[in-house]
Amino acid sequence: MDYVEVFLISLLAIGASYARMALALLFSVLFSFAIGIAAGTNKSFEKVAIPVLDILQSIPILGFFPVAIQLFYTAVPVIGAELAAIFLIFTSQTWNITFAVYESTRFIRSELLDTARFLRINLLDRLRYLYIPTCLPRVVRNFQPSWANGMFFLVGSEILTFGETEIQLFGLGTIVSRFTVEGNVTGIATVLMLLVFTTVLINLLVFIPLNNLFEAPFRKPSRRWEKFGFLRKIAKAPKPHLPIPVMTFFEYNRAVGEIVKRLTIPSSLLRNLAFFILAGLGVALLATGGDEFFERIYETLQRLGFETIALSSFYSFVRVMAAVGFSVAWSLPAAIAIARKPDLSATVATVFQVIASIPVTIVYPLLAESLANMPELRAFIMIIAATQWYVFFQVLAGLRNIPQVELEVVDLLQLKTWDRVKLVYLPRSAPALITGCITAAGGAWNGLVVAERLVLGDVVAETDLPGLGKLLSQLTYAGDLLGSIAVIIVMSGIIVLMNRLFWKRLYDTIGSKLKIM
Amino acid sequence: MKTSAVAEEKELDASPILQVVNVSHSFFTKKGAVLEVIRNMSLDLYYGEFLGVVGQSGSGKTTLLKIMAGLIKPTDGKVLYKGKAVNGPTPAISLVFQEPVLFPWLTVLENVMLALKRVENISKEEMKIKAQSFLDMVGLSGFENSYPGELSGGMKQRVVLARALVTNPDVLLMDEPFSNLDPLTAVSLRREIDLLRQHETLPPSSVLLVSHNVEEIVELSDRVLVLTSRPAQIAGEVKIDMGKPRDRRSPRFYEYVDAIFTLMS
Ligand SMILES: Nc1ncnc2c1ncn2[C@@H]1O[C@H](COP(=O)(O)OP(=O)(O)O)[C@@H](O)[C@H]1O
Ligand SMILES: [Mg+2]
Repeated sequence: MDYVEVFLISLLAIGASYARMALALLFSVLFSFAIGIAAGTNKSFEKVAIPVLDILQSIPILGFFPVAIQLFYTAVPVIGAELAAIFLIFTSQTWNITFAVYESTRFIRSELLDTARFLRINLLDRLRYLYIPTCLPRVVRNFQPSWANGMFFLVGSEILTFGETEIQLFGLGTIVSRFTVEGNVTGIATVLMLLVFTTVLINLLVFIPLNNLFEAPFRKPSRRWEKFGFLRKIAKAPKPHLPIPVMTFFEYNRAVGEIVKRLTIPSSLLRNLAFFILAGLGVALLATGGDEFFERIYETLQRLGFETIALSSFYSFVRVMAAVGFSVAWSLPAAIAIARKPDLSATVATVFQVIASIPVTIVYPLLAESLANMPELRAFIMIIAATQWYVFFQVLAGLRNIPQVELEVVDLLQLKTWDRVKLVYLPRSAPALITGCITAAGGAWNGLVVAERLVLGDVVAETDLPGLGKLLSQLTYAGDLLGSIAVIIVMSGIIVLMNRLFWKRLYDTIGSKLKIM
Repeated sequence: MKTSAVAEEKELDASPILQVVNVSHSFFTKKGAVLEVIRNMSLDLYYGEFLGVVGQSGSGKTTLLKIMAGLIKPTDGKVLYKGKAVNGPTPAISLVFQEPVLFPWLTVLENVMLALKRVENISKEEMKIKAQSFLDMVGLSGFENSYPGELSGGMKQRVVLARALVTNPDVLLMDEPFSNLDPLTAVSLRREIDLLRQHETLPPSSVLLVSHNVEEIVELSDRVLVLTSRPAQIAGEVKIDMGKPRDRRSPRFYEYVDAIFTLMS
């Protein structure tokens, strides 16, 4: 292969992957508008959809992996594999957008809705003139994080190995694994270079201008930052936008909480209905061999060994918490240092945004060599990559949302740096920090599946110590469907329990302590 | 020490403590448009006086106060405190914002103590005692361990006042401090500020009150400056020669109010 050929193949592969990503994003937006608007406007649907979405978004995405492939592949063999890949990417992109739509729809002023009803505007026009314009700014702001998230899982979605079946879809993931297997360093370097280049291009030409379209810039750049004007000029807008997922856990939690509250109203017909349907399903499952299913899950857990499961869970848990801790440790000081310098934070945010959307799973082969003897560090770097940005961007957003008058008081009273941090910045950014940690922990659990055991074609890089992600990956590649499901159940259980028992409590405690709830 | 300071004050009675010299200020808004808020303004705040500045909403009053407090650097011109340039906030100049800004996670006492953190050589105990005494002064004894969320609007504004005064500032700048209060609370707070002013030994030496409410300004000020609408310039000056407390229904009071309205329109 001469260099031109390597270059062309790499370019084509990136194009194919981006096409998949774009399709998945398109589906995500369509799905989000359908489900989000329905949930935001229809109270009965809301009660079912939001708790379900809450669970779906906390399930490790790659957990869908074996089921999705089998389903799609057996249904439509030819394009089934493509569909399965797009579906997997979709599951990593869609939830934040759906919640953005839901939240925006929910907070449309009721006078507007009443007017629309009064004027008898039909559904299509309501969508066109009311719902979609209202949601669009937040949807667009979620494009970039969704894209970055999809990129992380792209590699895993393109090489569909399941037991005997192995399908390689032409794209970024396969080309990198091929170059890795061939030991083609030039090839890997070429792909990487092209990837960085196209990522920067997409951010500067698509995401940032899109964001700016919905947010009017408001200040004159200070003279010191004018020399970085080229960044802005490339972005064709005076001020890059912070890629911050706008909904805090606070709002989100309140939304979910409200629904749960409404659910407890005894007269809620729907709850009873839902309960009966679920109970009916359960009974039907039991009657038709569902008991066998649960028995088999139990047996599978037994077969894998409860001790193995417990140990794996423990190590994975430690890795996740270490990653979150590390992210907090650098994000807090970094965000505090730049938050009050609007031009600097916009620039840093743009740069980080670009770095964040370069998937570490692809950079990985370059690391693998030098970190061959340090599997834990290798895994840690991968988890960090799936973790830290959430914390940083959330904290930065939290700090940037401190009311201007409070900052003026802080200035007026000439508080020293440490007092500012301790008495104002930390308390004000605490909700965002915890939101960031929750999202980061979720990202870390998802990332484990790749981080603890990365399979690139014939190259396998795994941790020595056990882990749930490693276990899941091993079982998946061995074609052990039951084993995979059992591990997913354990992992999802841990995530849900952590959210309910730890994060939510921490959130409530801090909220009431700060008197901001 | 104390007596000599008083003597000095008497001596300098006719000289300004805070001066605004040829200040202009513009904001840069969307799409690079320039919003001129203050145009070439000069004013003097004298020792011991209560100066009222009245102007319509949006005329640039808040901006003027922030510039005088050193929070905003004016586009042009300068602010002098006792003849020296003001380049940033200083304990000598306090500012009370239109809305009471208190940190909800700190108690009332802690909120007041915040202002003392910049004072050197002061122990935590001294800070507490000092903050407590100012809370007593504004009538909030017994609320020191409450949180701002538990207080009414009027009480919050009193906490802010205590925080503004606790550093013994020479100049107190107030930005429409009564506008967010219900009428009765506003009356009692105005009365209180008047009483504080009559306290001989108590700071501040000079007060500048900014408002769009002409009656309120006439009730409290020794001298009133009237601002034009944006960009703010000084349209005229009215000296108010009336004993305190002032009766809002007296004909004399109305003459002053009319005079100011004439200057405003
Ligand atoms: N930080 C700012 N950026 C841009 N414009 C501002 C800013 N602060 C105030 N303005 C504008 O300056 C004008 C004067 O504001 P302000 O000083 O608050 O007036 P006032 O206190 O008399 O109501 C208003 O039109 C306001 O919108
Ligand atoms: Mg104002």
